[in-house]
Amino acid sequence: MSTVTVRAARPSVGERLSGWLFSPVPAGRVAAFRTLAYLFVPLDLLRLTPWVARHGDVPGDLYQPLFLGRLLHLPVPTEALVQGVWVALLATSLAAATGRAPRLLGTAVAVLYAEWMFVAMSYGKVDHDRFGYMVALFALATAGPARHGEATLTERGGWALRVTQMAAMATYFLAAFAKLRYGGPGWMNSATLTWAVIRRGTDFGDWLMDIPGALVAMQWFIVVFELSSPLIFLLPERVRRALIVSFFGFHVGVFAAVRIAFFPHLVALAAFLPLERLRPITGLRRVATRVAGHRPAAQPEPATTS
Amino acid sequence: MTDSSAVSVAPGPPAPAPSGVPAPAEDDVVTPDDDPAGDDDGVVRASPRARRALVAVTLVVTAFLLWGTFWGSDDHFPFGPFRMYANASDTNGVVRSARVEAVDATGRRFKLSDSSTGMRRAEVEGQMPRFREDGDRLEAVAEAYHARHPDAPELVLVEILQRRYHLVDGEPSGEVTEVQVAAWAAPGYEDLADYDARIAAEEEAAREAEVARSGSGADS
Repeated sequence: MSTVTVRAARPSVGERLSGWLFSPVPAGRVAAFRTLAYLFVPLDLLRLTPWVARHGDVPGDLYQPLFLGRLLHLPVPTEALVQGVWVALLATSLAAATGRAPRLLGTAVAVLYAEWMFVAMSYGKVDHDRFGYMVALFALATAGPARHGEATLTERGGWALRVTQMAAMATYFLAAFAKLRYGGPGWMNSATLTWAVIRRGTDFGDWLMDIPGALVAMQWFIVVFELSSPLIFLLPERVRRALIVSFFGFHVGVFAAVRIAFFPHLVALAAFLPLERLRPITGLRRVATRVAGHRPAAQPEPATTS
Repeated sequence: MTDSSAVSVAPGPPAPAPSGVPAPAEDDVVTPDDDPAGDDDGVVRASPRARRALVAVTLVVTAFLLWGTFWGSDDHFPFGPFRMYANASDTNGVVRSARVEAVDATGRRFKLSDSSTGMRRAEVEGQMPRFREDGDRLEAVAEAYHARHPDAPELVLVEILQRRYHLVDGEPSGEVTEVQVAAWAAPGYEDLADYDARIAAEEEAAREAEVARSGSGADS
């Protein structure tokens, strides 16, 4: 459905890769992913990572700017700066979620969110769950206009979703190499998950720790899973979608064991799904219309139902 | 990024848009109905220029990410290595877990949580080498606490304590030790920062309480 087949002569490898990178997708999918990605921002600000805003109260002495922060001379976060970015990010993300002015609002959200991330990660701890989502924000700004439910296929929208998918899979795939680099080949048999469960475990994690070999088996599974993640692009669409849904299940399991959920990464994973089929507002409207349509017939009945 | 010429509607696959085709305005929604070419295949194509630019961006970001994975560090966020849980813990080593405790001017001792200072536990641990080097840097943590609790009694001690859970064959052996990593005390309160003395005093007090309890038990 999504690959462009060019019949003329035999396409070169470069042409085929380019065709794959720009595989057109329905504009409705881009619109749906856009709304999802932008509505994640208020959720992130208000519920998931409220600690970022607290960095505004931390003295500048504890601010340890990252390479890009030093390169771009990003200002030392103050209460005013943090509050300003917070308000601007909230406002632009809500506006962008409507799909209006996609390039202007999309660029504003992407840049503000990147600044927000530098405020977040410059105090001694860098999180590793944001790459796919940040790619999605910058890519969506280039994807052009798209309406909910629109069936027109778009190549730029296809690129935006494709690079988000690639970034999400790279997060898995390259994590295996980071384990090799930092943990060495012995990582699979090490006590890393034991370490994680002791530090922030749950009852489920403690239960796993009590089963001999369970955490080591999970470490083997994780590395095999990460190394094979790019193969997902070679699978038939139906299988791919089923696997992506199972990835969400994997992350539920991780959350149950060590209370860590890679929420922004989960948003990026949604770039694999046919989101245009989810039409919550249209669905509600249809239900409302149906209810309204039935009202004359239903009127004789008592108006109160539980 | 791309200008308004980036979108063009091709007359048919697979040829790129001829230069004569008017490009729709950026924020116009292109549907097959208003396709100027008429016999469109329903695909809004990216112009060759946009494609080149986007391919270049894809390659550059991919190169950064690969470089970061093999040679970069957390400092190169967001292109650094994805090293969540990448360290291999020794199955017969120790698991370290730090916390920050404070004592205020009323003598109350309590744990400083992530939300009470704005510094996450992992951030305190990430800056641990700096704190170990100079414990007075923890005064900034006290300042952060006061910024969030302007009416609270003044902190006179902030210290990082680290618990070490010993592992045998990958499982906790039950042995737990604790050390003080760094401490800052307000002028006049330096005694509070003496961890060994405090633990010794606490043990002494516990022993005395035990003696008193068994004594009173004998009386009754």
